[in-house]
Amino acid sequence: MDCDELKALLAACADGELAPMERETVQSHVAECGRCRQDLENQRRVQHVLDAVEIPPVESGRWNAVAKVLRRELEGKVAPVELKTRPRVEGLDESPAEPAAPEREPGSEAAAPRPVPAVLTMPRGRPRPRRPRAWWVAHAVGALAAAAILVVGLSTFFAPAGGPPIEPASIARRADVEIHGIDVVDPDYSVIYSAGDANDVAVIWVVPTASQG
Amino acid sequence: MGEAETQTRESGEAAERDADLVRRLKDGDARALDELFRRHRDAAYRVAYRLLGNAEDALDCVQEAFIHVMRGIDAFRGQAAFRTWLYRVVTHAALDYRRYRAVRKTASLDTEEAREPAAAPARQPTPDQEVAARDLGAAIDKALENVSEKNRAALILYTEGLSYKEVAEALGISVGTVMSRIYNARARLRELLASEIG
Repeated sequence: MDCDELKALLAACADGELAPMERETVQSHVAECGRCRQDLENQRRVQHVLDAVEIPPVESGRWNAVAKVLRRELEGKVAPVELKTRPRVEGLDESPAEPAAPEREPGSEAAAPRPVPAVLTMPRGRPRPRRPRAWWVAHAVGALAAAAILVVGLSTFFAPAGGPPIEPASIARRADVEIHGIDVVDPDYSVIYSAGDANDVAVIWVVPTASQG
Repeated sequence: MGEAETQTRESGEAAERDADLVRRLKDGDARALDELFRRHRDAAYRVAYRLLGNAEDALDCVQEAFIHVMRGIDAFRGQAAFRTWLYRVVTHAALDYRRYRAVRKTASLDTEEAREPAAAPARQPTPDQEVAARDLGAAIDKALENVSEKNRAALILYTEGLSYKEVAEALGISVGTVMSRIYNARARLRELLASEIG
């Protein structure tokens, strides 16, 4: 592996992010190559300096103010905050870069296109307010109750009304079967046994008792 | 138990806690929002500060990023850690904010030029004078401004504690690309800060 190929691994080696085999490759190379050894040391030194830099702290009052804005936004009590940035979550490489502000030369102001502030590109629609869990539970219970009432009503409405009584003789005539017996097993229903001409088909009917007429 | 194991366990517990808070935030729980904000606001601010080099802008950026998170929380499926996702949103917001700020600055300069068209150009301090006038932190902020956006984002996310894999997830790139971006960012910083860091 030559120095150019190794460069891609130097940062990861300095940060302990290499697999053992790759780390061994880098270490054996830098043991013999002064330039890459220096490069590796520079990577460590820059990171060390970056780690040491202190970021100015934020006063708790400022954080509280931001927290208040977020809470009001969540509760939907105010108009949504108009943002200066776009709500993107895709990778940096996949998103088209925002055109940079054009460089302007003195005297060319009239010809140069006017930059459009990013704030104008923000969606302005009010987002749907977030509902608490109790709201969803109450609506789910209501929907289930309404569905139950609907099912009971429909089944009552479409329940069979009894229809015309069935005559066993007409059954025998129309189906070309012989009636072998009729048993009244219930005050309302009778069981009719029958068979075809060749006695190869057995048929059992359950019919309203009134239809035996 | 080794230090690495302890860190891994703590990181796993933190991720689980975040996942629970995210579930509650999806149900509109304001206390979950408060806790998520408290847990991550400082790290988000540090990323934004390093990308923007200015405390006020960084604070604005963090607010915008959390609003993006709230508005998009239903789309967060938890495939990556919440922290990684938040850093991704903060990074995008900061880079957008830089462009917004550049446009605003250009417009402001146009107004000044229109007001004083014959004014002599301001004397620019040399790089040596600038560096001498600032402390190391300010010099680094200035140097970071001159590192390309993509390389800077990768280096800053790593500096804020993300692993290379997490940086790759946050930026939507491969781990190999993270390696070369971090290398290039540091090499550029080394070049710009030669007199400070020797």
